[in-house]
Amino acid sequence: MIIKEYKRPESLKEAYALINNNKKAMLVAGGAYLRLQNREIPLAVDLDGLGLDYIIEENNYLKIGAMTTLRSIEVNKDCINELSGILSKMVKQIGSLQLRNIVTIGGSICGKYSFSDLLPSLIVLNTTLRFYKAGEISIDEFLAEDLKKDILLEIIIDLNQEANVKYLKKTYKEYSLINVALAKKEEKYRIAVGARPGRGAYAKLASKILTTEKDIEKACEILIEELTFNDDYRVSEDYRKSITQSLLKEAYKEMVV
Amino acid sequence: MTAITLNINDTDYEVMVDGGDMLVDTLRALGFTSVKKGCDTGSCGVCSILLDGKVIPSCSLFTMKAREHKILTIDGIEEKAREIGHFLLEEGVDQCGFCTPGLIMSIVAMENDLKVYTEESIKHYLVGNLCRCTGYEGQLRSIKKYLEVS
Repeated sequence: MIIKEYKRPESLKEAYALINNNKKAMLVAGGAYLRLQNREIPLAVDLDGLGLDYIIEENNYLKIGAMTTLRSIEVNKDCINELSGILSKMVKQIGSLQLRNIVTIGGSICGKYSFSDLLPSLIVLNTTLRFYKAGEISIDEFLAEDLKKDILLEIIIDLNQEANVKYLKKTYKEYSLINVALAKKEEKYRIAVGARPGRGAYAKLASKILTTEKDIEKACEILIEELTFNDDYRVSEDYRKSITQSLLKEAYKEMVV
Repeated sequence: MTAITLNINDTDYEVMVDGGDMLVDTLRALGFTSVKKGCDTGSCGVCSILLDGKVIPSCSLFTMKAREHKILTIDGIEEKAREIGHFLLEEGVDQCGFCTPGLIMSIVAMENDLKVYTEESIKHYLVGNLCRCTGYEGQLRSIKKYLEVS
């Protein structure tokens, strides 16, 4: 990893100008994943020290600063107690505790990593992302668009909903082989599946079936047709599909009981 | 190269660093070879140090990010390291010794961080400290004895 110039701006305005005045400039959040890449970066713009490290609960919304580490989320009382604890649960087995003291939620989201264990949960929670220039956009919009030259400031989560998440791992700290998240807000369900092994995705049709017909068997059938599943060196496509259905059923049963 | 100040074990060091330098390399170049370099991908934990009391893999932190923070290596806690090392020795899990400094730094962070210890919470805390000699059972026994929870 070669970084020609490393800057730590003192304001968001300065950070925004730096990344927009230099085509190849790159934002650095925690930097733990970035450092694994073999590349040359002309200008790195570090977001440390800009006040983006916080978790606050306000009017039944959880607001998480983009530079908050995964370890802070893991041990935060609202992340443990609200939404059946899925925020804490989904970060606590990502890498090691050491690494979680470096890795940030903003970096995890903006990388749009296919292996992300957190992304499916954020998708079903209909998370709002607040950017410096683009303002508030939904996570669905963010995943569909390309907002590379903007700065993620805050992750906003509505706490007034039910949530559940299920995943399968072979060892304690590996990324999930498959990961299914389910949320319910005013009788409307949202289902998302991660590590398919493609990036976490919202299952629109299956969610609609579950909402309107409350038929979990049918939702499971549609789910594996609607989303793409693949083989990788860890597990096969068929295995992933089968486990996805079992996990969704389990998550649903726990939610309706 | 940029001149920066790093506070390591309560002493300030002036160092010249490149933007892409990782903390483990900077520390080792300064003579802190107790900080081992293993996987270099943030997986094995042998390069663990404390940054403002929080344990981190120093291979995964840009040196530039360590400015204005307090870095603690095992050299800064000699007495405590000897005390924990004694418990590891008693169980015969010092073995090759390569993972020991990183493990001890994680144990120190755990002591500062956790109020109650259970076998589960100890394992959860230390899952990122790999031991190629696979001394995990013995390590757990010695850590429990050290923490007086066995």
